[in-house]
Amino acid sequence: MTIESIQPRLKRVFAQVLGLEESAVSDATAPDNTPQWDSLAHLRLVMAVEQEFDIAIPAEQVMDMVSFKIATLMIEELTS
Amino acid sequence: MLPPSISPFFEGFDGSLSSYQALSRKLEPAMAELPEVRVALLASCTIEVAKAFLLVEGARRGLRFTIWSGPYGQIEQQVLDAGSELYAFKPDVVFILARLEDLAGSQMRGFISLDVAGRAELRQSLAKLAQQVALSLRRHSAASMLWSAYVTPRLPGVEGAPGLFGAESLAAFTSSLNVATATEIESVSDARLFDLPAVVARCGTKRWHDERMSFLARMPFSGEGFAALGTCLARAIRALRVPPRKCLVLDLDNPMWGGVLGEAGLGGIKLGDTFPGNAHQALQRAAQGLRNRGVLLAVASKNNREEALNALEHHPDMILRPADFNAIEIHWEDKVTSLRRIAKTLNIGTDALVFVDDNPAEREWVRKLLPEVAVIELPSSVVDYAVAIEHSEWFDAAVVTRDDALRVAMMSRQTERQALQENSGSLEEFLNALQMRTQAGPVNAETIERVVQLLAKTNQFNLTTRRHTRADLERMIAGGAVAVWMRLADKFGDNGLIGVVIGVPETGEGGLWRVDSLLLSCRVIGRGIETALLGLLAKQAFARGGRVLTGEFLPSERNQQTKDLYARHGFEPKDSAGQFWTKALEPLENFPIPAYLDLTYDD
Repeated sequence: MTIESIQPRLKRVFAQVLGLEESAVSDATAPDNTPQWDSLAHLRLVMAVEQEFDIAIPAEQVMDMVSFKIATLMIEELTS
Repeated sequence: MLPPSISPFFEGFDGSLSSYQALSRKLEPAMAELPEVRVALLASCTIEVAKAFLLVEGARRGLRFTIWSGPYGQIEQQVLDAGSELYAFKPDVVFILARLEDLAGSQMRGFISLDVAGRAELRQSLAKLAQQVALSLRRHSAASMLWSAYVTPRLPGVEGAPGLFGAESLAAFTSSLNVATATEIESVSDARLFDLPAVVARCGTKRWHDERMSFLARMPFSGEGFAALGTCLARAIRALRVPPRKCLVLDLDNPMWGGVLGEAGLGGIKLGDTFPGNAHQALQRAAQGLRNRGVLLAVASKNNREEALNALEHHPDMILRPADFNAIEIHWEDKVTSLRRIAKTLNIGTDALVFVDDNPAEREWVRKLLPEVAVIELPSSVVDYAVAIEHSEWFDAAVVTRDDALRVAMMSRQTERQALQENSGSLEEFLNALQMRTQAGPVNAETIERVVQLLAKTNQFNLTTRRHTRADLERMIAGGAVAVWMRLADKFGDNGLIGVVIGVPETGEGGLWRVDSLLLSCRVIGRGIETALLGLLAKQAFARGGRVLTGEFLPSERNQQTKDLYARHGFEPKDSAGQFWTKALEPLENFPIPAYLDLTYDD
């Protein structure tokens, strides 16, 4: 998948899981600047992203998905 | 089941994990008017993720869940400590999920080296542990307890051939452990097993487990698994809290059989052991199953009456016959009129009806004029009809007692009784002609389940409509309350347990006793049973030092017919609202028990 086709869907998932407006989600969205993104929310995010894009993020990478930008790149790689 | 006030929130909800999260957040502040159920979750692993799913699935069923989840691995600590966060939360329902891997990991891993005696010992100690937790919970709280039945643990390498269900296999052990645990736990009031293996089956074992999350976060279930758990748990909790609907009303031409009787004729309708006739039979069998556990059946159909009755009576492949229906409305009048008449005939409210009709226009008409009637949305294919009734959840009942089945046989004789009444001159004559035999006794372990059920679902002849749970009632009795049940049989059959009275001693001087609850099953109204119940309570209260009995009437939408009960029994009003009434217990002869009831009292 291309970054362009991933981003709108991923924005919706981030907004729904973290309780943000879609417009508030950007490449820079990360646990450091998003108080809602705690460890439990991280697990919820991983599960929701996997379902949305029908992918399985390997265990070794689950904890690496630490920003919206990185999530986009991970999905791009896993769906290529 | 989805309340109109929150249904707009479900628009656009697609069941995905992210939409559950978003919806749960939106619903929380919007559910103030729904009845609250406080649900505590305790598990041997991380379970907090289940919250959003459970909240949404509860809302879908008309309940506002307030959910607390304990830290993982602290089941015993939370339950045993009277000062724990669990009890501070004041739960109505406590759900416990203990995985065998966490609870007895080392024994499970060494399973293969345990001999028969060792396995029996392990089984018994685990079953006892669950019972101990239930007993401890019961000491500190009246909450219902759901303990998850065990799922066969996945222990790579432990078993030789995982595909075989040998008598010594891990799967066989888990099954027998579940039976042993259910037996131990059910000795504690309002404690039951939750069918977690059924949740796993619904989700699929492969999709249920998430090995990654298990290793990363002690969260062994997948997102889909949590969604399935939330759905099944919400359904189980609703069954614990909401009594089932009382009557299934069926249309005839498709669903009961395929085709239109008026056009195809008796020989042309589709009903039999090949498709699609067998799918229509399956629907009839589903209705028959409900009938066997006490649900009333009725017909509301637009057909030529004689022709339709003839088909029901004589079609060789018909499963349900006219005698299986407690009310039959076959004519060309509208369905709303039919439903109202059915409710009246059966002496129940229209809010106790569930309506099945293949015609969307009829469904819409009923929804509009009788929003309290549950309307089942029939699936497009007949093969799914039978399952749709089960899936509707309207007849879910946490407890099914033998009296439920009795009631159906009894209702069928109700018409005979009415005929007798019409042929008898005076009421006295009628009551004598019924040849009633009544039996009463103190509420105990054998009768409490049925008594609580009656408290939960009696609306019309119910002075206070207090819905005590089993634990509430046990606590009241332990505190000195007198609770008496009554059974009634007459020449037409056994009516089962049909009446309850509960009296509570008031603190202070003067020997004051209060009638906390007084109720009768609606089918035995008008036979003087309430007089007998008051008489029984008066006698027992007097023997315990009572001198004055206070009656109470709390009006509800449905109990207007009982508002003059205390006036009829010589009580004096204590307020202008007609809520409290009193009467001296001396002399006891002022509380007579009608002789025609032929009462025996079992101590």
